[in-house]
Amino acid sequence: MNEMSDKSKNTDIVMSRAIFEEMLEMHGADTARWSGFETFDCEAFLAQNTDLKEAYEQARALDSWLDTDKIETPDFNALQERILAQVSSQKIVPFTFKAHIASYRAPYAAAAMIVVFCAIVLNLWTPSAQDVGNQAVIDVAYSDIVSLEAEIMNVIEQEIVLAELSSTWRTMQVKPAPIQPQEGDPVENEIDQFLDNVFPEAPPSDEGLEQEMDLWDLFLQSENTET
Amino acid sequence: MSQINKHSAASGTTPDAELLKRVVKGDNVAFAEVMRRFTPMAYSVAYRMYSQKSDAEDVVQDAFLKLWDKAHLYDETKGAAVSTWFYRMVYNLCIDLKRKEKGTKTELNDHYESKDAQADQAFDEDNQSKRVRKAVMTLPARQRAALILCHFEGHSNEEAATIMETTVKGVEGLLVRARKTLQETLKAEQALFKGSW
Repeated sequence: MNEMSDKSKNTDIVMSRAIFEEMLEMHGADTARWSGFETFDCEAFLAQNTDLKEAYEQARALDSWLDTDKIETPDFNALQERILAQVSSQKIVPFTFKAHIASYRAPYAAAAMIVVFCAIVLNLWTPSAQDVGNQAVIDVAYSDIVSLEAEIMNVIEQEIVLAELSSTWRTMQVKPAPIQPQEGDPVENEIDQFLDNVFPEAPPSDEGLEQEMDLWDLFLQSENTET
Repeated sequence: MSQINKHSAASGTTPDAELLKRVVKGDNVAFAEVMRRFTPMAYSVAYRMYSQKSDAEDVVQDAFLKLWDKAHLYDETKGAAVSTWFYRMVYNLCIDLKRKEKGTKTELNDHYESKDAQADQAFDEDNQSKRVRKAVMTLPARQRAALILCHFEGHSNEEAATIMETTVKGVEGLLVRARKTLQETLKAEQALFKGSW
């Protein structure tokens, strides 16, 4: 195998026929693209390895062929104006922790578990005579854990508030689903079904409640007369 | 740029990462400067991936809108340059669009036949360019992307690997396969033209 010292900045690797062929296959004939061999003297190498000339010429032909590809360029200014117009029409929401709280759920849950685990270990662990001298270190670590725990609790509380708000909002948006008969008292189920038929949707306001109570009375009266 | 609010300046020397921090705060001027810097390269990649001007423009537009929304996710400490991070965005959009359009759109590469070459015997620069693009379009998307990033965009294998979220070995394999296929196409074209003269 003919080998040649590489003149490039990579002084550790020596150019060989195998590397030369690999570079040709991967990057073509332009040595400027040959990572680690950018300044390699190709001509001198080929003078010593004439059988590689054909492969080199083929790679060079492919490079020239590829380089004839021209891009149909649009009006970049118009394109950028269009994008800016779209961006300007969007409401700018600066990044806040609250806005992205959902993406932090998993890592914070994991962190909370670690904190709880650490707290348990610290509570159960009895320091040895050697460790007593390191009490200050333990105190610092413990206070760090406590503050981290407080931070995590704060995040969890925020998350709960957000979940409640979200739930309230969804409740306001969505119509109540028809009540399905529940397992339990058959009379109650019957009353529920009866009321569902009369009021397929929730009454729009409290006005509906009076009518509903009247119907309840009527229903119960009819039940009593039957029995 | 009439849309820009002139509340801050973004000179050509401001580092990319600095501009991105300002984009996070909703600075249109910084965003315009980011666009000025990255539009040509984003368009170049998208155009070579699709070979359609309109598709490439759509990808560029989507990429910048994504950058506007996700600028806060750029982490300078991870070591990747803003341009590499943005290239990855463009690359992913190209691959996503490719998946969505698969089977619904006829691509330029679907009709790369030898009779095209025969019809284009005028052999002017434009036709030559089209033939090259058709040949590049016959490559599988990832091979094409590796070739575009390394050959046309001048990225190192390491940078291409970061953009494509793969290994350097992976990129090398893609490049070798892509060039081999194109070498065959070139040989076929050369043989065709020799025969026709």
